[in-house]
Amino acid sequence: MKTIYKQVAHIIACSIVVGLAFNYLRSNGIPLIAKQINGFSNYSQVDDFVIEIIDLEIAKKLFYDDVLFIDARDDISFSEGHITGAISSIPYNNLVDNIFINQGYSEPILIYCDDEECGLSEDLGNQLQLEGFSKIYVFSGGWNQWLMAKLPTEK
Amino acid sequence: MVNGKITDRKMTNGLSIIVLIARILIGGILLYSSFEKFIDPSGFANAINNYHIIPFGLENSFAIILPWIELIVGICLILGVYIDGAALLVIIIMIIFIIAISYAIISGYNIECGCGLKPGEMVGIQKIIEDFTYLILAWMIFKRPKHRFELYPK
Repeated sequence: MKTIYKQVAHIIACSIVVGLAFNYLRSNGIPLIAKQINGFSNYSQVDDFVIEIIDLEIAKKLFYDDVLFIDARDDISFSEGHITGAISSIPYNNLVDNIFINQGYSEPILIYCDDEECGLSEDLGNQLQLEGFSKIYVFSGGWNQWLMAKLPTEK
Repeated sequence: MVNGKITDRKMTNGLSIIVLIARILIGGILLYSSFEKFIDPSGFANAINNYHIIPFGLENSFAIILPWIELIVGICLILGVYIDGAALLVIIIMIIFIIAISYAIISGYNIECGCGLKPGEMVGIQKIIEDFTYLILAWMIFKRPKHRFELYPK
C-alpha cells in the first residue's frame, strides 16, 4: 500500500511541477490564484451613487449571490424569457415600490437589457439612482450574452 | 486438477485482457479530456468556478494542475507504468467529479460540465452514470489479480 501512495505522490508532484511550468511559459497562462472581482465579496466596495458596468463573470457571481436582477426590456420580451428570478421593470412605479419594500435603497441591484447596444439598462439605472438606490450594476452583455453562456433562464 | 489449473489460467488471461482494454479506454478518455482543458485554461477555470465548491481564487490552480494529472494518469494507464497509483487517482478523481456534479444538480445549477469530452455538455444524471462507469472500471484495474502487460513496476 505504501508503494501505491508513493506512486500517487509521484504523479501529483510531477503534475504540479509540469503544470506550473507549462502555465508560466504558455502565452495564455492564467494566474495561480484568480483575482478577486470588485463588488463580489463586499458590495460596499461600490462607491455610493455610482452605476457600475459589469461583465458576464461578475453578473454570474451576483446571480449566485441572490442579487436582485431587473429586466429593462419590454414586457413581451420579458414574458418570452428572462434570467431566472429577474423582475420586469414594467410598470415602473410598481418596480420602485417592489425594490424598496423587498430590500430598501442600499442593497445591490443588477439591471440588464438585450446587449451592449441597448441603452435601456443605463437609462433605468440613472432613473433608479435618482430615486435613491445606491448600488446599481449594469450588466453590459445583457440577455443575449447570458443566453449564449447557457446560464439559468425562465419564462 | 490439471484441467482446473488450465481453466484458472484461461480466466486470468481473459481478465488480464479485459483490464488492458479498460486501461486503454480510461487512459484514452483522460488524454482526450485533458487536451480539451489545455486549450482554454481560463474557460476551464470558469467551468470549475460555476460549481461553487472551491473557494474563490483556487479554481485557477485546479485548472492548471488537474489537466496534467489527467494527462499523466492517462499515459501511465496506457503504457503500463504506475498502474496502481494511476488507478487509485482515477477513483479519487471520479468520486470528486460525482460529488461536484451531484452538488450542482441538487443546487439547481444548470451549468456546463467542464468535463472536456463534448463542448457545451451540461451537468446531469447521465454524467454521473458515465463517471460511475469509469469509477467501476478503475476499481477493476486497481484490484486486478495479475500484473500483466505492465512496464513498471513489474
